[in-house]
Amino acid sequence: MADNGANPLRRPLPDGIVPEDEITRTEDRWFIVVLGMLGVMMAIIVATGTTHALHPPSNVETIDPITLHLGGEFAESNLGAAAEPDGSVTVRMIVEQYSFVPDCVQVPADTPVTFRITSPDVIHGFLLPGTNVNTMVVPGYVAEVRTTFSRPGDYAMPCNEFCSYGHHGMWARVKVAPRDQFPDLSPVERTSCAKQ
Amino acid sequence: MSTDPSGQQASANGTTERHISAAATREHVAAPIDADTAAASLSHGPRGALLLAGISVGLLFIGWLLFYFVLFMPRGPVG
Amino acid sequence: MQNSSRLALYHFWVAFGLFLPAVVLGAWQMLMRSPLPAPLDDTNAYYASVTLHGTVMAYVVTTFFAMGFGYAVTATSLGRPVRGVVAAWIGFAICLVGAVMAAVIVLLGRATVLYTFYPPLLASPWYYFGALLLIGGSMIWVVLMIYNMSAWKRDNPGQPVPLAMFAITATAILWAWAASGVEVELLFVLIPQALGMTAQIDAALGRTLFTVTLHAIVYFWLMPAYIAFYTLVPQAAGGRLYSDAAGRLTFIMFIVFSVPVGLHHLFQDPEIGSGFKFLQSFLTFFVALPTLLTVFSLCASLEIAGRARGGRGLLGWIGALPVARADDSGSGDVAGDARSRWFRRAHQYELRHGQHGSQYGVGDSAFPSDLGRRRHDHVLRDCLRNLAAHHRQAAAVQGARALAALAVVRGHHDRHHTLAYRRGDGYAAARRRLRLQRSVHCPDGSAGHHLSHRRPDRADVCDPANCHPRTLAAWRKDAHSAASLCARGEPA
Repeated sequence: MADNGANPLRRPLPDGIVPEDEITRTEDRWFIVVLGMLGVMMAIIVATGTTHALHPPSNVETIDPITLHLGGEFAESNLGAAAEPDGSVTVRMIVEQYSFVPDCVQVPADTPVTFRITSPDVIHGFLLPGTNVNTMVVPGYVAEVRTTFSRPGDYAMPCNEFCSYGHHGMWARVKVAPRDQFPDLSPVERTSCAKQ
Repeated sequence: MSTDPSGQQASANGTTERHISAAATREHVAAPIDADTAAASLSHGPRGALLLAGISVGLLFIGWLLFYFVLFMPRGPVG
Repeated sequence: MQNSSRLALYHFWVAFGLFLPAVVLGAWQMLMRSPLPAPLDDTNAYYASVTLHGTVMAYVVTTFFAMGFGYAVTATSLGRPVRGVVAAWIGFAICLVGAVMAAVIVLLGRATVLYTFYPPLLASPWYYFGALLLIGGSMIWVVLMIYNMSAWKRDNPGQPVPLAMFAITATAILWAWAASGVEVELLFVLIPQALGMTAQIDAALGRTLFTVTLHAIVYFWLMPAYIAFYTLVPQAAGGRLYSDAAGRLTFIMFIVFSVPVGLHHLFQDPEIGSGFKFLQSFLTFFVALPTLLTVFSLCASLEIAGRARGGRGLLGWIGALPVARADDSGSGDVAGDARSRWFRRAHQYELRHGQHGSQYGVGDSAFPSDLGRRRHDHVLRDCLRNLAAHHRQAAAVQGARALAALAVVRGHHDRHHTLAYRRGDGYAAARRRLRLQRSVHCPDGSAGHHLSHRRPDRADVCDPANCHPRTLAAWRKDAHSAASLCARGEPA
């Protein structure tokens, strides 16, 4: 090994260690196995995505972060849970440093719920632990996440994206009530469980 | 019995320098095998490697399936 | 070479020198998050620590290590000093200045934005300039890797570039692409805002640009390890890389597949639509391919080493790998340690040996003390075969199929009586004979055994299958005479 030409990092690897066709055959076989596995994974994602409505939240919609609270969809009187004509519920929230507005919302179980969230300052996160509701709230865009809660319960909702010094104190609650306990809302009514 | 770890290396521009590489000392590198031993050892193909790699990749695949079907899907729809 | 190794070492010193304080920071962060009391209990300090820990670990340690590793690989695999050493030192200085700038400003609490920058959070411009110097300075390293590889190719036309050099150049190219994302973000999104040149910052643009870096950088971190898997691990195990072509293909695949997959960090983001998210998901599966290929290549390379060392069975070769020490030889304990013994053939030993010119010297201490009780004719055979093979290669023997095997047969009354014969076929067999004989001529003054080669008598050249009894007898006679000759010399 002290030999000059014997530095394995340097000398070209000798041929014929294993017959070339044997190498090719084995590598091809392994390649096919691995590609097959990856293909199965992709097929599962596509199939379950369409049948079980599992998609990454992909609504691309811009909004002006500087004026959004002054009027329009995200004016304070319009925040909270609202009933849609088709029976679903839309929850509008503003996420800012360092609070959720409103910081408690009530939604019905077994109903399609749409969260529409935006931020007037920095990036925040919106996460309901134990569910697949997880989205980034980026200033300049409206983040929209749709889900259906199958079980009533109480979700503590942290901000899960660093938004500067008060980040760890930023919490909200989402209460999922059984469908019959959810108040019947008129189209202009908004409800939340935030302490007044 | 002493080993001689240093070797003279001639670089392309003609100067020689003493190059001591850890790869050249016995203590750091196992005794090399020759080409025929290597070929003989794999005369039936790399079955052990296929088994070992197959087991580890298989565990990975099973782990992925478990996470997807047991953790992710039961958490409800999202879109 | 001295300059090249100093270059690599200085990079490693910076990398590991900063690694330790960053680990301490991480431990402190754990204390802060836990119910246990922590010194310096301050929330702002916590986030500053997270920023410094992340910046140092993700940018400084990794970049400096990769650069040092690249210079080391260049020098050792190409067998000549790194070219462009002056530029390399300039790059080192630039990177170091950038790293220090960033670290100091974070310690001052004016850049608490975490290592992913999180626009629209804004840090002091010194932080961004520091990051720009660090990452931009490493582009000098990228250029040097490419330059060294092409210079070697020009000087060695027609020869394949050593795999390690090929791979580190692929790493450099990958890093050039990966770094472009964060460089553009720093130059056009963050620094203008930090300097007050723009009034509003596009956070989504900054994030999207950063994700170009965010995924590919992990391959930049990973590639030195993969290079070690492909070049150092087979060597340390004493085996061979299973397939050189697969290694090169893997590194090319890393470049190709890690280029477009950054957006999978934005699956939850509202600024990217479902089309791109699905495409990224699809491509991300492909970037798993080179890793999965590496798994197999590495196992196969280790299998070569394990089987050649006597491992048997579908998985038994794993135990035959030289895990405890690269070479098991030592004074007397040549049976190997107790653990590896389970899988080794009991009569297989490693030998400590050295090369003097064209001869191999085998140490006296290589023979176990209980050798007198052993009757195996093929003691030391496999290891001596390796010795002889290397010797044969050094002598540029033609004929890949020629196999030199040595069997050491112990005499019955004196463990130093050794015999060797060479079994071979082809051109090489007729021309050389390797012989193990006792000799008193050792450079360090102690007696040892030498492997020498000389032309055989015509009677010694025979069919290997039939050779054994007759040749051994002939050798035995020779050995007795040789041994008695040397016995007049120095004692063992």
